[in-house]
Amino acid sequence: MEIPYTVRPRPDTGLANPKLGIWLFIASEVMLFGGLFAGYIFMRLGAEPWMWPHGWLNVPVGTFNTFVLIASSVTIILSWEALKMRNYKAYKVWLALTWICGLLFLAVKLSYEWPAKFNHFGAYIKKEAAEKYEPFLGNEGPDGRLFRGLAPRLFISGHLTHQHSGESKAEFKAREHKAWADLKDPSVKTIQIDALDEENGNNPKSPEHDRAHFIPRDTVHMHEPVILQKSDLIYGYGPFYPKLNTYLACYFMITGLHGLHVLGGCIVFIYFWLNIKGGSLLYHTNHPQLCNRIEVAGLFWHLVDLVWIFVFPIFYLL
Amino acid sequence: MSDPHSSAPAAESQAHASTDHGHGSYLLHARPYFMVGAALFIFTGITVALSYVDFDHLFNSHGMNIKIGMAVATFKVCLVGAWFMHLKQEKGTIWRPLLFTFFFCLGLFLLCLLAYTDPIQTTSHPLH
Repeated sequence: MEIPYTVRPRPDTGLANPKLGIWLFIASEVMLFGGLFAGYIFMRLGAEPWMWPHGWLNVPVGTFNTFVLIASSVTIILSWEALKMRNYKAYKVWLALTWICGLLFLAVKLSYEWPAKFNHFGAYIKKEAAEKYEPFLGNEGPDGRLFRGLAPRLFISGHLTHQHSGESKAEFKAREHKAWADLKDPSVKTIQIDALDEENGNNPKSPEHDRAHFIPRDTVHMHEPVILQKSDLIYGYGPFYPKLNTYLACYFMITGLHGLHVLGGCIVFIYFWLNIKGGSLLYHTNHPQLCNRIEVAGLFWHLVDLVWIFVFPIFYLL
Repeated sequence: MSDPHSSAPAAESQAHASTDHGHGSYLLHARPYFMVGAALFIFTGITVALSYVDFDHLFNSHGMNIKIGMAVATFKVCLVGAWFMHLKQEKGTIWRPLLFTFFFCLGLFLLCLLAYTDPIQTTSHPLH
């Protein structure tokens, strides 16, 4: 059965069916991401000031990924233009660049950004126990955060372990594995942190730590490990997983869903790029239909770019 | 992505099907896209730079950084929509459902703001 109006516009709508279909799909996607962003705003506005983190994400890496996605939006439209002008070679090159950019975006996210979070430890201190950990929080005193009119810092983060000099990688991995296992073991009442994040480990009262920094700073290797009592911590402490706080839950949810869209787009582009029946071979058998396919997939890809344009400032910068 | 130089992209594609244009001629049509792409790069840099300026303190108003950041992002989205997605010359058939979604989204954001300005303080549940 031949599907009508895949290339020619329908007389009643004035549009080819795939184009109307993709725009309706885009409209539904706008509602989906609009709902998620609205939920994010709702939770952010309702959160206590000290509960909402800033500067947890690597801004240069996020900026790089934004450039990659914008570049891919340009390359897909160039691919479509080249295809319409019957420049097959250029079409293939630009299309390849598009899915390469998409995969690069995903590679950065999955091989660097997310794993960096999974190796990081974080814990919220109960308000009544904050005094015990004051040297790492920097709230009290004439130059403390409270004196500067800021919300108290009740969060300690860093790395449970770091590789000592002379320690083999296998030994370090075994020690690291044990540290994470102890975290879950209810019979172990304390947590030992070897390296603290800059704002906890290096003069927490410094106004330098009041705002997020463009270049992420190193962790501070402590001379003596910092000991936290589990009973002093709010439930959810551990790696930077979604359960640690609402910010991370929103971050993984929205960037994960966006990443799935990127993956879907890449699969479609690779399919069109390959010399197969429904892909680039259409150039020789049904050129207008291939043009429409690239056009429709390109519209979806611009939506992916569009969503990221909001995701980037909301999560990385503001 | 309907062709900015034609109102009937599919028909034009078919017309092109019988001829082979010179290599690189598509780049003449693509110039606006390069310019929009460059603008998007520049405004991404501006967004990053602006986020390190304390507008809240500067204007003595809470949430100014977020408002300014979102304004720049919205401008970038308009560029993508208008040029890359060719919305500036699309038909009403496409605009109408998009306008609906826009207003529904606006309603969602409005509900969030209403909840923020008039939060629920307690419940009427007998156990609370």
